Amino acid sequence: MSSYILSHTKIATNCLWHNGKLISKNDERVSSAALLEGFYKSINLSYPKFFKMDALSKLGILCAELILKDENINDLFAKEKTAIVLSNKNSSLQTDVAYAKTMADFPSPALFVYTLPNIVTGEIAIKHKITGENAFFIEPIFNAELLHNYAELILQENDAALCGWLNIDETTCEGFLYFVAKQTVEDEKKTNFITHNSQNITNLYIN
Amino acid sequence: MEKAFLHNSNIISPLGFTTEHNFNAVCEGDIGIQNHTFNNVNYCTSVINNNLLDDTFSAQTKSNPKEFTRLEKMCILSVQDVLSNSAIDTKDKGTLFIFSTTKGNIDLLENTPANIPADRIYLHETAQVISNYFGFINKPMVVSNACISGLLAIIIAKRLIADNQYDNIIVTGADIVSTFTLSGFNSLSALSNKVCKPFDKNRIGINLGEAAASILISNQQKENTVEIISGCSANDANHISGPSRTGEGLYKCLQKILPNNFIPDFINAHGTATEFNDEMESIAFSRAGLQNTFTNSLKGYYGHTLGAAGVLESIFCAESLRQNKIIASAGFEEQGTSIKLNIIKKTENKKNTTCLKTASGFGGCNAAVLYKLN
Amino acid sequence: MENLIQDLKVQIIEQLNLAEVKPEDIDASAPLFGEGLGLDSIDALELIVLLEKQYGIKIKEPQDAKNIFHSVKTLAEYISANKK
Repeated sequence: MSSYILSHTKIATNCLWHNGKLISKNDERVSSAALLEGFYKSINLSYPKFFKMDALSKLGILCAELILKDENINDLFAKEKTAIVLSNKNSSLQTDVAYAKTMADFPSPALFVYTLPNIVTGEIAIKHKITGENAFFIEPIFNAELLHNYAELILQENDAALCGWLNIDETTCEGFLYFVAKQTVEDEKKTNFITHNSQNITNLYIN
Repeated sequence: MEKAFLHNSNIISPLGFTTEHNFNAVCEGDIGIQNHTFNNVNYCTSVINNNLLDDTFSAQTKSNPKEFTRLEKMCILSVQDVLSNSAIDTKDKGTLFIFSTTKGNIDLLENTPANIPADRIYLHETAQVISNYFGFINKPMVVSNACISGLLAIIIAKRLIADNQYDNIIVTGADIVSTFTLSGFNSLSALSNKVCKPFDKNRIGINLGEAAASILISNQQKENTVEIISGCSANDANHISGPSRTGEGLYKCLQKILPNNFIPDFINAHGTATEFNDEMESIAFSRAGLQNTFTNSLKGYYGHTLGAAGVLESIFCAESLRQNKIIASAGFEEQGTSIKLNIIKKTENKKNTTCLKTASGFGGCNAAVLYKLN
Repeated sequence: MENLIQDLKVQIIEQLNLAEVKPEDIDASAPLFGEGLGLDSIDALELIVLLEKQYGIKIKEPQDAKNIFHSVKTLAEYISANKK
């Protein structure tokens, strides 16, 4: 059975894209956190917890929001059979550094809880009630083959997966998420789905 | 579909530098947790002696200990021990190295020694250094998924082998005790200032510990080998730092991997000794009908070794099955969860064939694996 | 006391990143936790840090925190009584 990419979001070079369409753009040079707060407003999201998150989680929440609200994709698949498979280079380094600065006098519990890369996985899971498989991989650069390969392994026993790359530091803010699902008979009638393979994932990430 | 088996292993910890030393020490009731001073603050932790680590590293690897971080030295010693006792070719395309860690070389944030390049703070750099040391031809895979990292790495290895993508996978889980993690868990009021007491009524929190643990997972079945029957992960979708009150994610894992009405011979739980973790586990186990199953936690010997825990504890599961032993849950005296569990009070000989290993962590993640002796 | 309550509202909003909340939105007598501001266990720990950082007060018994953090008013009263 083949699997297909149903929806994808990208944040790069100060732009927010959803399924290839430009949603929002920031021409000014701002910090990653400020950029993401701007996008939050531009998509009319109302989720006060967003402001308590570190930048990595903000990035993930924004990318996931557009995908999962896209024709309510999230509700088409069993939440316990939907996986979240993420990757990046920096782990949670930006927040690690921020926490380390508080260590000497008043260590911040609210910063410390974000010093793991998979906290963004938890934030996405909480917001969308997704209870399936999780995995967070650390790679030196975006690795479409790894995402494709692991998502396919997961799909052998599950229905869908939210996959991608969320990498952030003071100057880099790069997010790319896609939603992949096993094709059902009914879906075969639909023609605008993208086949899940490394080449297509790479193309979506680059373009 | 290929089957996946646990083979040679190694544990580098305060209780010894081989699996055998560690297993025997724990069977004797030795505990790695002591009082140590970090940045003038006293913590109850399980820490490897630095001089012993450097001396062993120099003697066993003939390499310069100054070129590697503490974590890397622990990992290199660990992987070397596994490789030296097996016929695995690191240059074979069918061999993979998976590295599991939560914080890697986090001590470099405070102090980068002159001989260590600053980019070793990146987890993939650390993995690459270890990988290069042994000449693995495939790029290392790095899993960083909070406290389930080690167990998740084993689950991933099983899936890759089942899918016939690799023949041999070495999984190494490692984390160090650092001011970073100590002050952080302290800020969450999660640390115990005494040796921790998993599942006990008087438990007050965790101890942090450090270890590197490695295991060879392959498609080769040998006599007396332990098979990875099934494994999976699931998210609570509840809170990023607090476990689900109903044990939702962990229960989902158990539902998925355990056959109907199946009761394993024993459970090696996560058992961190925080109020909420142990309580959550008792609820998830009882929901799965496992409240009477022999259960232990190894945190009372090693503390919480974060990214190493799932690998270290799985090695103990395998040895317990092979050597027909059940290991006492150190620190447990009195029933301390709202649902009574059957916590192992005494280490003794007992015939075992199956065991369940579980883990749960920040970000709402949970994982479980079922092991079986063949 | 009124000034302290006003200061606390601003400090709580800042320390807990309650970006969309204004000081006048917070009712000084209303419960801080549970409903309303949607605070959780991590916020409680951050409030402990706030007390220590801004007012030099250390809460010795963690179980006392629940009563102290009941509302901005109870927090202000505790600070007035314990400030050095």
